[in-house]
This record gives sequence, C-alpha cells and structure tokens, in this order.
Amino acid sequence: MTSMRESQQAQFKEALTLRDVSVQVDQKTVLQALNVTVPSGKLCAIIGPNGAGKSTLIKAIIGMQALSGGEVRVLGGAVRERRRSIGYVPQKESVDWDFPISVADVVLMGTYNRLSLFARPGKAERELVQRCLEQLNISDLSQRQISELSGGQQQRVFLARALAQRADVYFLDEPFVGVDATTERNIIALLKNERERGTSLFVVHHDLQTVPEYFDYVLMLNQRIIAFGPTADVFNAENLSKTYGGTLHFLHAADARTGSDSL
Amino acid sequence: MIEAIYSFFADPNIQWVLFGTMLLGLTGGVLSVFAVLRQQSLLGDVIAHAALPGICLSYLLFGIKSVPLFLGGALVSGLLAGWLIQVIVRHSKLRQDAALAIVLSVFFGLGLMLLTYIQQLPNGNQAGLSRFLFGQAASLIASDVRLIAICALVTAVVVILFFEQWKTLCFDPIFAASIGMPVKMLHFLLTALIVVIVIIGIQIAGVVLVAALLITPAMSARYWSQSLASMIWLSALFGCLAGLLGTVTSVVLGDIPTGPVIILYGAIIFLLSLLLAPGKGLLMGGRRS
Repeated sequence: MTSMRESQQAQFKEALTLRDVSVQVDQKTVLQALNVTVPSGKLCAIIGPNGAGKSTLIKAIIGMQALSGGEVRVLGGAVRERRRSIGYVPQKESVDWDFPISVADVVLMGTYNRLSLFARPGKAERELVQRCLEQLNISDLSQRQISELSGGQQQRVFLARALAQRADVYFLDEPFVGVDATTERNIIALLKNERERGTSLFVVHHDLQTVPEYFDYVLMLNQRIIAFGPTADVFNAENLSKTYGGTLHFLHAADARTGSDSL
Repeated sequence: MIEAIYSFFADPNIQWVLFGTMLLGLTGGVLSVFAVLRQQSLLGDVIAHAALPGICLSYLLFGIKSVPLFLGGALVSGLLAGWLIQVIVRHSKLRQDAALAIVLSVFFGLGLMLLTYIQQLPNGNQAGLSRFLFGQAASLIASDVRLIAICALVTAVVVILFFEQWKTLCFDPIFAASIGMPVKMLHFLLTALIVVIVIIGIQIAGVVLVAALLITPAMSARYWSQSLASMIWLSALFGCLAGLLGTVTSVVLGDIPTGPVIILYGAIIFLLSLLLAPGKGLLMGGRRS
C-alpha cells in the first residue's frame, strides 16, 4: 500500500488541476472559469462567503456535479480514473444519523472503493477499520449505533471512514462545523499528519481566524477564484476584501492576521 | 372449531390467496426498508394512485377484464406519473413534495372519474373493476401468485447481491457516488422493484392503500433493529404477518375488502412497536429523536 502511494505521489506533482471549470445550477452560473493548479502534499483551505460555490466546487471535482465547461484533473488523470485515490468527506448534515448502522460499519464503507461489485469486506478490511477508529480515538464506540453519537463523534466517524479509503487526495466539506474544540484540534493534527505522509487535502473552511494556523495553501473563492497560493502570500486583507466584499468576516480575519486578540 | 379452521386452510383457493398475500407482504416489507431509509416512501403512494386511470383506460380500450392488461395499463400510467414528477421538479420552482401531491391527486381524480363513467356503462361486464380501489385478495388466482413469487425471488436475489451497495446508497448517496459505485443503476433497480411490487400489490390491497405495504413494515422494524440486516428480516416478517392476518380476517368476515384489513394489521404492529420496543418504545423509556 505504502509503496503504491509513494509511487503515485512521485509520479504526479499536481494534486489538482482545474482548466476553465464552469458550473451552472438551474441556469445560474455558480462557478465561472476556474483555473488553478495545486501541487500535491498540501493542506489547502477553500474559503469564501455563503453562496460562493465552495461545496459545488468540491462536488464538481469529484464528479457529483456536472460541469458546464472545462476540465478537472486529479493526480494528472481524469476523475473516473482516480476514484480509488480520491477521498470525500461530505458535510455531516448530509446524511441521516438515525440510520440503523454501527460506527464500525460506517467506517467499513471507506474500504468499499477497493471492493468489486459483489464482494464482501473481509478480515483485512475489519482490521483496517479498527486502526482507523484508534487513530480518531473512538475505538470504544466501534459497536455503538450512530444515532447515539454527539456532533464531534459523528465527524470523527466520517474522518475514520475517509482514512479507511486510503486515498491520496481528500476533499472535506466543513469538517469543523458543530464539533467541540478538542475534536477540532484532533482533526487538524490528523490532517497535518496525513499531509506529512504526502497526502493532499482540500478543506472547505469557515473560520478565517484559524486559516494561517491550519493551512499552508488557501484558495479564495467567490464564483471565480479570487486568489490562490501559499497562505503566507495570499491570505491578506486585500484579497479577503475582494472575496467577502468587506463583510464582517473580513474584519475578524484582518484582526487575526495583524495579531490583534480583540476576539 | 378446530375442524373449521382446518378445512379453512385446506381449501386450495384460500391456500393460494394466503400464499399470495404473505409473499406480497414479505416482499413489500423488504423493499419498504430501502424506500423508507431512502426517504422515498411516498413514491409508492403516487405510483399506486396514478395506476387507477391506467387500469380504467385499458378496460375502455380493450373492453375486457384481463389482469395482465390491467397491470400493463397501471404500469404505464404509474411510470408516466413518475416521469411527470421529475419533469415538474426540474422545470419549475416546485419542490418534490408539492410535485408528488399534484401528480397524485390529478391522476387519482382522473382515475375516479373514469371508474365512475365505466360503472355507468350499460353493458354490465364492468362489475368488479372497483375492486382495484380497495383490493380483493379472494380474486387472486394461481397465475397472479406465480407473478408475486417471481417478484419476491428477484427482490431476494437483488438484495443479497447488492446489499452493501444499497446500504451505502441509502445512508450516504453522495459518498457512494464519490467512490464510483454505479449509483444510477442501483437507484433504478430499487425504483423498478418498488414500482413492480406496487403494481402487483394493487390487486390485493387496492390503489388507495397498497403503498402502506411499503411504509408500515419498515417503520415498525426500525424500532426493534440495530442493523440494516435485522431491520430487513423484521420488516419482511411484519409484512408477511400483516398479510396473513389481514387475509384470514377478510375471508372469514366475508365481504370486507382485504387491503384495508392488511393495512390495519400493519398499523397495529406499528403501534405495538411504537409503544413497546426496548429502548425506543414510548412505554420503554424511549424518547423522540
């Protein structure tokens, strides 16, 4: 597994390439002519105001949202050739947490990307699930029904499932929404750890204050790409103002950036 | 008394009917789990109501009472309704529930109008068409039951083959698609099976109530189960039980249509589950989630 991962990483310097990507939903343009190339092995934030098209962008990248134009390439190939290398963590509100299923069985779904159509997961897959649960400190919840989990635990389950995918590029849609501070610290440590192993991660993020601390790259989106690059270079008041149109978010972020602790 | 019960179950006609309703309840029970978890339980309701004009039109067109023709007509108008809902949702500002309600009432209204018209025709051989409204299990014959059995078998095979896929699809469809599962095919297969079981069930439970076969067993089973597999087994059992008790009651009491009785038993099972299920039942320390 490791050698395959390394060879893929060595082979593809770019985690993600967007060429003229446009998306329309209900005849309205949501994303317009996005062009970007993101190197692999980075932890990249996707930020922008509500309605900027952040979730739509992720869905367009993983092929869940039809493009009205342009091309997406992941690790140098078309998305359908890279399915097994792509991990996706949806917003946790997108599923029914009353579904009759145990924590371990949800995480097990992460291994289905390597399963052929009629195959059943076996011992190796179940052991992998246990390791992923341990990584997120929820191995004690393994047999628990998901309906009994707290918000933070739900998010950990989703991340454990993502780990079980053993992907090279991850897309996470707001993983910090509705989680407690401890969970947020655990998650970011985990994401950074994955990055150290050469994995590329894209995270839709809302809390501008933590951007410089968490992410080494940032993509600022508002239907178009306003700015993209290393956080230190592009995460500044001017770009934030262009992205958010001078709303409250921007003020908070500017404070955080200049070291003010007024918040 | 015992002899009376024995001779009742020894009657080959009643055996066929019982076999048919139990199999239908069982198959409906299995599919209801996926319909409910996929939040598509109303789809069956729409298809069933929308089948009525199809049944009436096929009688008006061909002038004979033939079950395969009726089911064909039901299928066509049911599918037309399903297609219309998608068109409405895609090309208007209406949401899914509004589209469902509109299509259901328009088709059902049309069906009732045609049915009334047919019943006023002078030629007299239209008697019995109204049994499609509430269902009449006693009218089942061997070929109907064979059809139900085939449908049950196909459902069983598909559920066993695609269990993990359907589980993933119902829990998290976007994730399922993101790992490259053939989501459209899996979804189509599920919808097709639901449509077929609804159409076949119309004879037994009637267009008004057949959809309840696709809701109550799963809702009841949800109270008792910790996993999808146990929910499916229980739901099948509940559906089967309601079919059995409903048919026996309907046949014993005579002129009572089968559909409503089966549905009532389904509702009783649901009520018992709601109150008594360990941990979740209202009388067992359960709370509303």
